[in-house]
Amino acid sequence: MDIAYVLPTSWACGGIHAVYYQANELIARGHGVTVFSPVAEAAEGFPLKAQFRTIPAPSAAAEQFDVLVHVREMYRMPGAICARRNFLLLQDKDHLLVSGAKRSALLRDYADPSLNILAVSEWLAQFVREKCANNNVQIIGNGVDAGRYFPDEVRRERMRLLIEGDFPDPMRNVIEAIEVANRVRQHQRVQIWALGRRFATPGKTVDAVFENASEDQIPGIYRQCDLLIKTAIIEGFGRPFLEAMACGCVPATYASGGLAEFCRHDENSLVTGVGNVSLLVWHILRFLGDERLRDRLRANAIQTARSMPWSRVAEKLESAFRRGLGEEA
Amino acid sequence: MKILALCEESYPVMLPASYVLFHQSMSLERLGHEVHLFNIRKPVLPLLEYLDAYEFDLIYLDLEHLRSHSLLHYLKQFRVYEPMRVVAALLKLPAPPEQVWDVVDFAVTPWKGKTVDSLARARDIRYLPLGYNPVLHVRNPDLPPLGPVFVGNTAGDREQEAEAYLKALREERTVLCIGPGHEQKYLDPFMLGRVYAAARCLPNFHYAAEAGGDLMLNERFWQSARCGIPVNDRSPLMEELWNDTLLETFCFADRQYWQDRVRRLNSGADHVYPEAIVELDRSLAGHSYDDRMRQLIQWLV
Repeated sequence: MDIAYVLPTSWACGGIHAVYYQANELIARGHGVTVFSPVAEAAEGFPLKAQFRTIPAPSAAAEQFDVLVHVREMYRMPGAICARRNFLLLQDKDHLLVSGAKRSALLRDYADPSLNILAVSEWLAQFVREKCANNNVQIIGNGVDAGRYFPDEVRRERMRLLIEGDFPDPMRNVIEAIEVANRVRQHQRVQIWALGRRFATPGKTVDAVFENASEDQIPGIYRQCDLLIKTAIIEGFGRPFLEAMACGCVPATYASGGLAEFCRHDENSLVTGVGNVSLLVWHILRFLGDERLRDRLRANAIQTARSMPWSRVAEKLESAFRRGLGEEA
Repeated sequence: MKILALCEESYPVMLPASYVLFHQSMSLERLGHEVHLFNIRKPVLPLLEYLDAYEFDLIYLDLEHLRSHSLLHYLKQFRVYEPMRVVAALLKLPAPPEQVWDVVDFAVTPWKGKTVDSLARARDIRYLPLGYNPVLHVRNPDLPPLGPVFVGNTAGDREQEAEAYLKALREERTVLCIGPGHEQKYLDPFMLGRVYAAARCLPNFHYAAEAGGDLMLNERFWQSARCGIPVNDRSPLMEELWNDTLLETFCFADRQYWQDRVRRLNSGADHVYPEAIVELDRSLAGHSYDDRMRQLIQWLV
């Protein structure tokens, strides 16, 4: 199949990297993949095997593909890219990030039965089916690259908590993760690290900050930490958790949407209701005080991540594309 | 069940209602429910959007929150197109005005007496006492003894009454007082049980609302009895729970006797028979927050 992706940006956020992984895996399976973006430079540090191009002007000669996957609001962008079938990759409840006409337009897209929607989680698919009354949605999930993200066997004297996300960012709600980590520190001697594209003035609340770390550095940071604390209000999937799990770093998180499909409380993660700071603190204190619990969660987290390779996502994508093209029942 | 609890603090620090919700949500989670907290003072998303983003089965809130007209309006609006259960906790008397009852299915309250009886004639109000946390509030004889400790919010309009009970004991350094009205301002909720267990002797008293015919057993009543040797004032509600032996051992109606009991336990002049402690523990069976929340869920299903 000739497959095109249209991105809203090329900068290295998690959702865009997921597209790059999908593209590489589809190429490995013998498909042709082109990635279009408003800017013609692929994200630095990512070995993208697909052709990376600027979105052509609407007046340019039309280019034909079998499948065109729109990422986020790019569905509304006019262009000369045509396809036998259009898909929309839904990675989050993006409509909550915008308001007014933009939000209405997104909700109209989600409700459009002629558009095949690829949801990264059942939580998002359910939203499309039930709130947007559109049954044309398939779940493709997300994956983890086991070649980059793998555990090591280092044991630390002092436990290390990692906070992930930009600060400030209201939806990512990193301020609450900082509160959780510091409430824990009132009871236990722990180190607190932070990882984000930008992280403003952490002061004494955080011991080390890794700003704008490259895709190559991130697995090493995960490997050096015991827990990944994220307190986002809404997560379409929560891929950083999966990558952290692959490195033996156990998620401590709110049950904020899609992540609940692979982060299971007291099995491979610590999960509590969104906003419930005190219960998240409680679970982390239990984790820190119980070596058997730590070992069990870590082993299960690694196992979970191993069961979710990108090849599985590519299989689901192929199946969704074939179904969309009428090549499969 | 997926539950959205509205709160004014995501972590209990200043407000007594936050401590209650902390224990309740911990119990609900232990019972297999998912409890989200929505901080109405610092909302990250507008409430309606949050309700739209997640599918909740129940909204649980403090009836006091509905004094806010905007919240009342939002909930009324939301319930028009989303059938959802709303349960409120009536923790503070007097209750908010009439219109708040339009958005709640029923209210639960730890209060008994005149005000609640009068409200219950027209409204669905169910008695759900406070309780203890079965995980955090436990005896621990291995901890080195600390001496009597009182932990409570005695600031504001209750200051005078607290002073009448505590001032002398505090000044003679018989009791360590912790709370917003005292020199030691705060104790983390995860430490409370351990401090109580180390204290052994745990003074507790109730406030004058009882004199007006409204009765409630405060959180300290349940938690101190669960962790150590309680020294209570006397409330008619205790008679529903304790037999004469327990009342005589752990309740002192006269304030002077109450203070003397704390002094004598501290000095070692008084002691409590182990049989009384066994009987005390037995009396608390069925009164944990797990039991309370099990009851709440039973009412809902």
